Amino acid sequence: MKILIYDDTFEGLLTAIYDGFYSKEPLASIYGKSESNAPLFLGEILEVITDKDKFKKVRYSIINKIDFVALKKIYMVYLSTEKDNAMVIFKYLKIAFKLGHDVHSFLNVCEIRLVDDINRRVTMECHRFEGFIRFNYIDKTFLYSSIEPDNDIVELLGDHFKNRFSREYFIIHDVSREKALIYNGISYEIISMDTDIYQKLKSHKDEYANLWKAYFKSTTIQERTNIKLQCRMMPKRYWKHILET
Amino acid sequence: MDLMDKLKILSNAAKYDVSCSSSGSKRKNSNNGIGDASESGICHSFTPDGRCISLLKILFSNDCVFDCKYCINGSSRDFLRVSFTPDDVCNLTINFYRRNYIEGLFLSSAIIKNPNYTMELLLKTVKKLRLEKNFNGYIHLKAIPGADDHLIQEAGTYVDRMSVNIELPSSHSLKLLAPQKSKDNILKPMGIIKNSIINNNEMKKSIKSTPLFVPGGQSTQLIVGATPESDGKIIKLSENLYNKYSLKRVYYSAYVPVIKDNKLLPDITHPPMLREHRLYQADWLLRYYGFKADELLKNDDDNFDLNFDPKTYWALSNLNEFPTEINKASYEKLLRIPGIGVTSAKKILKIRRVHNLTFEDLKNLRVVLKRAKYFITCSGKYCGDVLFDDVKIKNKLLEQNLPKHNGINPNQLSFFDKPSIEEKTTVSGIIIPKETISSPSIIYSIKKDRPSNIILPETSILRVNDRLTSIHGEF
Repeated sequence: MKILIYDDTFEGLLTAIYDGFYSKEPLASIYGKSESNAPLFLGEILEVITDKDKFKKVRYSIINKIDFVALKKIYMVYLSTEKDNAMVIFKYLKIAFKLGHDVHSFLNVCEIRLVDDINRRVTMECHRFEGFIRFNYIDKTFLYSSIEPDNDIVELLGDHFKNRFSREYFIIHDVSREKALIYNGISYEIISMDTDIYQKLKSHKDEYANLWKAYFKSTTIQERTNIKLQCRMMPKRYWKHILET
Repeated sequence: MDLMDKLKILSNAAKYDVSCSSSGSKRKNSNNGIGDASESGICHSFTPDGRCISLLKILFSNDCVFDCKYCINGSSRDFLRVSFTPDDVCNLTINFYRRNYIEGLFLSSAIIKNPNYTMELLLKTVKKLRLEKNFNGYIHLKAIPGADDHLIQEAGTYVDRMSVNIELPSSHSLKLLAPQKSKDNILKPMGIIKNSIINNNEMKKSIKSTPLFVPGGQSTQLIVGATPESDGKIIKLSENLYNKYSLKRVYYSAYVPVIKDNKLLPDITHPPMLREHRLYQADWLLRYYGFKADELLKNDDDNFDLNFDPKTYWALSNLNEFPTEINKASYEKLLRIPGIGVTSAKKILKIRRVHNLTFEDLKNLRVVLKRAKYFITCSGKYCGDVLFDDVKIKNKLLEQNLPKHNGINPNQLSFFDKPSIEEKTTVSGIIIPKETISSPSIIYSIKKDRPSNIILPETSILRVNDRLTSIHGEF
């Protein structure tokens, strides 16, 4: 039994999967470097060295032997906070290579269903955040927003906001993961950003924020109050960064 | 008066309009502007009443010359009258949009001076927003009944959705509560918009660069519970609107008693929300499930059963069409199973091509089986926990509606309890309770004459077919 440790990148993950497929010993598990829950005594621990060729080979064969949708799905699983997500992907691919592009229909197989569910969860959260992000207009020069999503979705939000605000400068800051998406009017990239910036910009005053809060209050119909429904549609764990709540 | 006060007053006045969808438009960001429409629509926030905020919903003005009895802006009412300027609206929209608070603008208005004057103001505002501010987000505009055709048509080229509210579901009620409005007056702009959309689509087939015309379609709204119309009439009206005017949506708004002391309006304390919910369910059945209005409610005077959703009610009264075999039934048949919707039906179709579905599989796929299990077979196997019989299924379903802690016997029997049921002795000396337990007052029975064999506790069961309850929704 072997345990593989990869370097937290998607390339590293696919390299580990390549090694896993060709190893003679059965795999116990695959872990990312930052995951601290790797068990100690299950077997020999091997660190995977990220290899661009192996990554390309796996990527190429997923697209050719399964399809592009499958690659997209496992990327979503990679971004999710699901426990053991690397092993979920490994098991999925093992079955998917046998089934080919039909794999998406076999939802009765639990490994495939699991990937499908996680995929939906991540996409859903991404869609929610397209709505729940609140920008603060700092000094009338750039837009800043802080979020704490469950999954690592910051990069999925880039295209959406780039289309909308093509002439603005904006930053979407994932406070808990200390990274940010930053757009300069032409293209966007992901950089690391620490929580100090959040602390500094958090208290910035914006006149339209007050107008928005007033609007939020006056548009509520008291006679129909239904807090449970509100919490279902807009979970409380997100409220910290939504200014009107 | 500053912007804050205006916003408070005019958004408060607009909140009873339910439409909030921002879907269906493919408008793209162009001319270096701000915004583009998302086809699926995006909800940006949810108010404590559970409704989503997607658009900035405001009235342009609350200074109305009409005097509708149900409306808080009626001309006979005494309160502060304010109006935005087109610039106010543009600034609010752009600045809210830039901060990602909203998906676009929903602009309605009271009738200022006359319909044409009002429509011109609205048109001026959306034109400014599109042409000067380069705003490409979603705009939902009210078409003002009675305005000139060309104004409505021109407005249509700038906005994503237009709507004309019918509000009251019959011309009689309109006459009574909204004397300045008439049926023809309301339906005319609807007809104009519908024809223009059709023309536009035809033109698009030959000329690709045809500008958009109301790409999100048109919608309307009906108030439920302010007037005595039955659900049957309302749902038939909706069906006609979908068929004849090709509306995208009909919204239902449970009447909120904002106006007190008017003899023409019902005196209620809570809006009839469950009734509104049933109408929405039926509306979905019309649009996505291939149901016809007269299948759901046979007579015009019928109301929906508040205990069962319309599909379950239909299934229970058409039990001869069930059980449906999950592995063989067509898509249309699958959609008719209570509890199975579009998502589940499509999932089933996809999987059964490669795998024979069992009951366990359905559970794992998270198909909602609470109701469905009584109406399906999986490879010939029936999985409900009672016999396939309408009364038995009905009771089981009613039992599910009860709150969990409130099982069949809500109070544990105690030695010290006084007998709550009065007893009487029959001639033959047998002691029986005076009110027989199977008294029909607490029981759902389909036929009045059938002796009921169901025992359910009195607590928290809705009395069924109670006209008063379903119209006024107080329980």
